Amino acid sequence: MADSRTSFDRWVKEVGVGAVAGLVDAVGGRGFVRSNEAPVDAARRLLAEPDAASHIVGSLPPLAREIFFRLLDCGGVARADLLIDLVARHTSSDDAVVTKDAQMLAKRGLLLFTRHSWMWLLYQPTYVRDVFAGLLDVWRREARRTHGVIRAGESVSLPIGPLLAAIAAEPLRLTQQREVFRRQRLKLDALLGGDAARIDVALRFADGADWLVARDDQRGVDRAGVARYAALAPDAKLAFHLAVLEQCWPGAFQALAYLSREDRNEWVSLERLIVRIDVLSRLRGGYVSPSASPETVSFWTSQLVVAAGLGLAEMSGTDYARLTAAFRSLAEFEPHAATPDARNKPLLVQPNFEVFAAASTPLDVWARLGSVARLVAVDAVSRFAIDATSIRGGVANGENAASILAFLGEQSAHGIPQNVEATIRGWAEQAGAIRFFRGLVVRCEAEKDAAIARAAGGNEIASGTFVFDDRDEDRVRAALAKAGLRALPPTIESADHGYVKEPLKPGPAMARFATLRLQSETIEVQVDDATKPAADETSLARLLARAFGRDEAARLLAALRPDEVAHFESLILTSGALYVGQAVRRRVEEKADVPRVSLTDPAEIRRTLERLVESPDETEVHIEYARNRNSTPQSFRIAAMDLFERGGTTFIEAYDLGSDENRLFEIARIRSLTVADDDAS
Amino acid sequence: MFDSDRPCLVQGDGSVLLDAHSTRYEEARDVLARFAELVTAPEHVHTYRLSPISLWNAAALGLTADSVRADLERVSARALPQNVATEIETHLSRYGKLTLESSDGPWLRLVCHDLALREEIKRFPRTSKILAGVDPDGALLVDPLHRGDLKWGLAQLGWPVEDRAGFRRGEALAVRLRGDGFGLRDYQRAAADVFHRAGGPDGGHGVIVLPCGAGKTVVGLAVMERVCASTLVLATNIVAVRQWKREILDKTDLPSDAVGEYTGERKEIRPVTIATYQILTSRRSAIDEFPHFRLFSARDWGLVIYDEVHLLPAPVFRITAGIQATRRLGLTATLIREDGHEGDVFSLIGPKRYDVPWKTLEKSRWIAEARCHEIRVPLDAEARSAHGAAGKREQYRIASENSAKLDVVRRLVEAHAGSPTLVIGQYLDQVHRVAREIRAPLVTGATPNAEREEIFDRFRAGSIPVLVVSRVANFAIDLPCARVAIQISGSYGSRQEEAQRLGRILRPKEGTSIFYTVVSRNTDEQEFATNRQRFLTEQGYRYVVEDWSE
Repeated sequence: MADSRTSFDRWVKEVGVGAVAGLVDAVGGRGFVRSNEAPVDAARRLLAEPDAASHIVGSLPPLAREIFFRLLDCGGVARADLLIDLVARHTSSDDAVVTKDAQMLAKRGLLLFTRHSWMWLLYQPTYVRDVFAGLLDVWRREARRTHGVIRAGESVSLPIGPLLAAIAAEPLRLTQQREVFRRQRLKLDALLGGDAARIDVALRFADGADWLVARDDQRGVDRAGVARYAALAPDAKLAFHLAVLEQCWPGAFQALAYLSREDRNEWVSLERLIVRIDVLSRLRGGYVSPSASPETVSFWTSQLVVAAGLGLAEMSGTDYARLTAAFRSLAEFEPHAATPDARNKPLLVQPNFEVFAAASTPLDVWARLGSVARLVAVDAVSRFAIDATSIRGGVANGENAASILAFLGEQSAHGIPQNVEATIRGWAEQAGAIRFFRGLVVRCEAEKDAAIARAAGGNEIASGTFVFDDRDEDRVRAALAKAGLRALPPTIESADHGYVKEPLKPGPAMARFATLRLQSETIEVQVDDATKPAADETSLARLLARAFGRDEAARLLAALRPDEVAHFESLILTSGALYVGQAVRRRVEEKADVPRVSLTDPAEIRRTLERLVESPDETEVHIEYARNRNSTPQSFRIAAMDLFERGGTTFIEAYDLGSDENRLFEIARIRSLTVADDDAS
Repeated sequence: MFDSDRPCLVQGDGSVLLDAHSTRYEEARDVLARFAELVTAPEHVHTYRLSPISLWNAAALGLTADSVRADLERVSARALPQNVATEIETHLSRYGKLTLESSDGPWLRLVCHDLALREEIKRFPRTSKILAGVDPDGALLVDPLHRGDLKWGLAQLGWPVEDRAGFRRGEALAVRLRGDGFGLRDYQRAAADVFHRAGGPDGGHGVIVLPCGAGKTVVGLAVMERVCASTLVLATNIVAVRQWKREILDKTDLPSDAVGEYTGERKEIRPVTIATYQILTSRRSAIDEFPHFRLFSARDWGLVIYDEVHLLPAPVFRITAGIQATRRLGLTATLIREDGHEGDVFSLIGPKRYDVPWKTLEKSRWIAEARCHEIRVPLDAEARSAHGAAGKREQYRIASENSAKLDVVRRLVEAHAGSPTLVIGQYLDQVHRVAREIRAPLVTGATPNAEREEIFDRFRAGSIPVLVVSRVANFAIDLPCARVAIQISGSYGSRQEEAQRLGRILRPKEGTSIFYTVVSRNTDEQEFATNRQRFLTEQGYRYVVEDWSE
């Protein structure tokens, strides 16, 4: 590698005064420029001084300096100029702090600076500039939005989450697609080297619909492609054009299918955004040259389809069906349809749930893999991960344990490791344990009535029981009425608390008793007017009132925090009223037993510790303990073991989790006590 | 996917995939081990990573960019991505550009021939304030007190320092390993020699990476024998301290009064002193000094050994920065720190000096061959209902304490009658119940140390066939005879805990050791177990999942 210093000297020699002046400007003068001295004059003067240029570079922000030297090291003299421009644009006045924060973003591996993209971007300075500028714009706007005016040198710290959201929500600003498109047109001219015929084709791309029509006439291509093309966003068109230019027909059509999705511009997922920018930028950057080998073209094509697969993984069932159909129909355009080679299968499933996919993986395998596995990294061998979420996504898209295992088993070079197979089976079965359908259920008592319902288009799910689309309720009612059938009042209703039972009818005369078994205890619940809920009561309040009476319900509710109320409310439907009632009571009793709030009263601390010692559970508590009367308390996490008195002082013997030792603590020196929540380490 | 003759694939992100089924696997593995970090080693494809630290480590071993590139090209099925080639050049060329040397005067000299870099160092806030000036040859001068801070700061800037400033001799202490039947294994001797480098300035600091059960303590003793100086050993907890002490007295000729224990219970400072990280970092309050740091200056230590260096707490890093003239040995099973401070270990303890993968030792029968089983049992109807209504944490506990596990434990203990078996659990009432039911002794945090040692001794002697232990047994309990481990509950998805628990049964022995994890089916516990399972499979262990629903 060329030595940085040598490169630097060479750079100074090549670019001369102008660039050094730019550098001086970029670092904002900072002691290099005398008063009333123009940057160019300063540069001339500085160039005559030994090591002056080094000093200037030393004043660059660290990230800029790092990029600068890397660019020099790889011979990117001209690119170093671009960096100067970039820094100059972002180090003046209130933007200085933004640049600083952008360094942090880059260090944290945000967005485009992830893994291989980082170095690659260094070789694409134009793109670096666009994207970096876009990043900074987003960051600056976000900083201004939350902090108002930021003055030079002022430090602003922003949470990373909202920034990611802001960036993800504005992909088009990031890519500055118009400018890129304009440059790309120029680049096409250069790439095609004056080949009039190809330039003509390239220009036609700008009016892609016309071009597709022309293709359509010549080859009888699916006319639907024209409409799909017309609906593309400009950057999608660009990807399509470039893929076509590279004579990468499968890639072009896959890109078309993928990018013509209705939500093509709604990149809410950061991961998808990265893939998208990565793929498009490789195409835009001319990374795949016109003379690329078929393997190279195939490689980049596969990357596009990975993006498509990723899209599939996040789609709902309808979208998935639509796109898989599109893929199937597009397969006919593939000139060399790849078939899996039994001896050289494209996937490899590892015992740690990784899946490797070779670049030569057939398109349909990419797409299907994307629906059951999560993309981790795109590369020569792309890496996917199987987890519970990805499998649930696959099941939601119509897969089941058997189909997923059959697919992976068929495509994987070493089959599926036993632990992965068993775990996938478990996840898929769990995911597919229940399904909710919305519909109108019609139950017919007589076969003759059932025949009418059947004729009305009902889906018979059991003898005499039909399901209709609930949006068709009026039509179904009318059709059945027309056939002389009148619906009786429903015989099954849902009770207020979600527990399905016979309808409750108000009034003392109709009061009745229901026995609800709450695990080990039996509670009689009287349902009458006295327990009828008030209109503004929550469903949890109603449930507790029914189960335990109003007073007890009020006591229980008062002991719960709002988030706990919300938690139990959410459980009513999924877990049923019986267990929620039980769980609420247990939670409240626990609270009464060992308070979850911080205790500071010595008597309460002592009482709590006594209870903990007697409790069979190994409840852990945090204590703030002062070693001496006036010293600052120190934190310990302990499990109480024994309480005893010695010499008139009460001690607690406890297992100290921090030191893994049993220790003695004097009760009077415990300043506060809090029951420890279990750490989800 | 892989070429049979060239088993590696170098990816654009600097990861290297190695086909474990290739006939050239072992050759490629040995090549990669020199300059890449092994990240995962599952059954089929192992993943290595080229990182600045791994490349600096390689440079410290004398490798050049050309040799690394040539090695990679020799085993790689596809051309090296250009960006990776550049990264290799960049990071390897950085090592050695900054050399720290001693001088005749009171300063250390940081020699740097790259003027731009020198300017950068002079301006970098973390280093500029500790530089004392520039000598006539252009070397930057630094107070020896700031030796560690300088290296630490420069590593953060992306520039490793080759520290050739040498070490203090320390208080002499003759240590000899006993010859009666105790022999160093080849890799232990090699590790000690590579670390010591015959006492030269390029040795004497660094990290030895060996799997659990491979005898890291013995490597520490071998280094002590070579250094022949008073030694401070820092260990994770009091049980580990006792184990070190036992090993030292058992395997060296040091008398017992030469070995001290510096813990919450005793504060002995002897020629060889063993302390816990906990006692070193304890203090009255967050704003007070660390009073026990005085241990570092209590004697003229010639060697400091950091056991389980991946757990080294941040304050100990800080004090370590101040003792750079003392030889420092880090011992660990993994360089991966949960807090990502691998760079701090590199700059303050030293580069990795020696590394042997688990599976290699297993193949050589230095550690036991192990099989891992996950047994899934359902929750009964009542527990399932309670589980459904409980909050997240409560759910985990209900699943962990599933009473159906007891029957599984009973059956496994019966099936392995005659094999020393450990039953390991997280929750005290659960381990109490299991111990009661299977009539086995129990060791928990509450068991007095003397009683623990007695029980462990009886287990080692074979008079106790089954032992139930709480999480206190996660670390540094030496029970080499254990052949079967049954894990009935654990700390969520802790990979470290899983490795440590598996380590309990990895001491060399005839036949295969078996590690069982019993989890409740379709619960979060199963999900957490899957994370831990993933970790072990990444170390090369085969996992079998069994469903004991019936």
